[in-house]
Amino acid sequence: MKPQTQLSFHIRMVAIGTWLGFVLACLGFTHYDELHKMFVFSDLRLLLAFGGGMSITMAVFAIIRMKGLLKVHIPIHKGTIPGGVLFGAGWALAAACPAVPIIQLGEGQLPAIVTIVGLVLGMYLAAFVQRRFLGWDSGSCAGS
Amino acid sequence: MFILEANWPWWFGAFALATTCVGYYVLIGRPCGTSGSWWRILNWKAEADAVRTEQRYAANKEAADRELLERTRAMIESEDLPEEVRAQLLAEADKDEAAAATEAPANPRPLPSAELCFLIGLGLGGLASAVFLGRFEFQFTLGETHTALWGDGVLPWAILFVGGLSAGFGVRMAGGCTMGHGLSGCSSLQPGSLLATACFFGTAVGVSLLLGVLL
Repeated sequence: MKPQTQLSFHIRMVAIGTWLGFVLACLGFTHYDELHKMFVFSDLRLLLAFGGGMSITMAVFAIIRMKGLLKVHIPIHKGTIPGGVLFGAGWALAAACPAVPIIQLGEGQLPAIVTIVGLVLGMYLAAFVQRRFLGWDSGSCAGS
Repeated sequence: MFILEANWPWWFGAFALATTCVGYYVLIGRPCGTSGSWWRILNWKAEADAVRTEQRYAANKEAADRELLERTRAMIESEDLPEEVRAQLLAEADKDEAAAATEAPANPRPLPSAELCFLIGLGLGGLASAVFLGRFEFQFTLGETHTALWGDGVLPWAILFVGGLSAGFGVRMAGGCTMGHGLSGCSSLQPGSLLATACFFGTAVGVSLLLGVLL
């Protein structure tokens, strides 16, 4: 394993972040109008794009897994349902999926600054509440 | 040409989304997850230390495993334990040794500075898209629907803050977001991701339909 401090790894991170931001913005995932249409099923475009993207990824990951790579294990835990519900509510109210407000800011949608402040505070608050009052820590995104 | 227009058709979007998810795995060597990136940036110091430790361990795995087992055995020998417990613990240490010899070192997680690069990239991608589609402009609302729902005073800003807070709390608690659970996790058929995705998508649909009725 090469050390990650090298420049190329950081450049790869910028590159894949830029591509993801570009795709989500061009698709309309960063636009509340489009997102709301998906949630009320008045336009199935984003839903089909998400489902289609997931299906293609599933096929590719299945091949990768057959080669013995991609070992992920994401079990169900105590935070899965309450966390999912809270995230869903935030997503519907503010398009606040963690990647989206940063992309919105790049597009010039200034209210996203407030969403980002909320997101950051929310993450800190959850970690604090889980440690202090619930005595558990659910870790972070896939594979960490 | 449809690529040059906003709101790409679904089939093209599906391919593009798949390239982001697979591309992340190919370039970075682990599944994509934006909330994990956020968290590693917010915990900068602890994460940077942990990554360096992981890297040192991965580079000297054999020697580190041996040292750890030797110390464990020495501890078991020196403790005042009933003989059968001691024998059992030593047998477990032997089993660990055999397992450690065959497992490959895990891919260390990215440094917080690399995660920051990823988030900066997201912003650049948004900017690139707006310029590419010829629609870059500073906007002070989230668009027609949000304004229709919440008006144009302080309320929409408060809703964004509350929404952000709820989503931030939720992704941390559920251990993932649309990318990590939704795209990466579900396409690997992970039980935690399938349940989390059903919960956040179901709630988003419920809340949006409710907003339509109430407002």
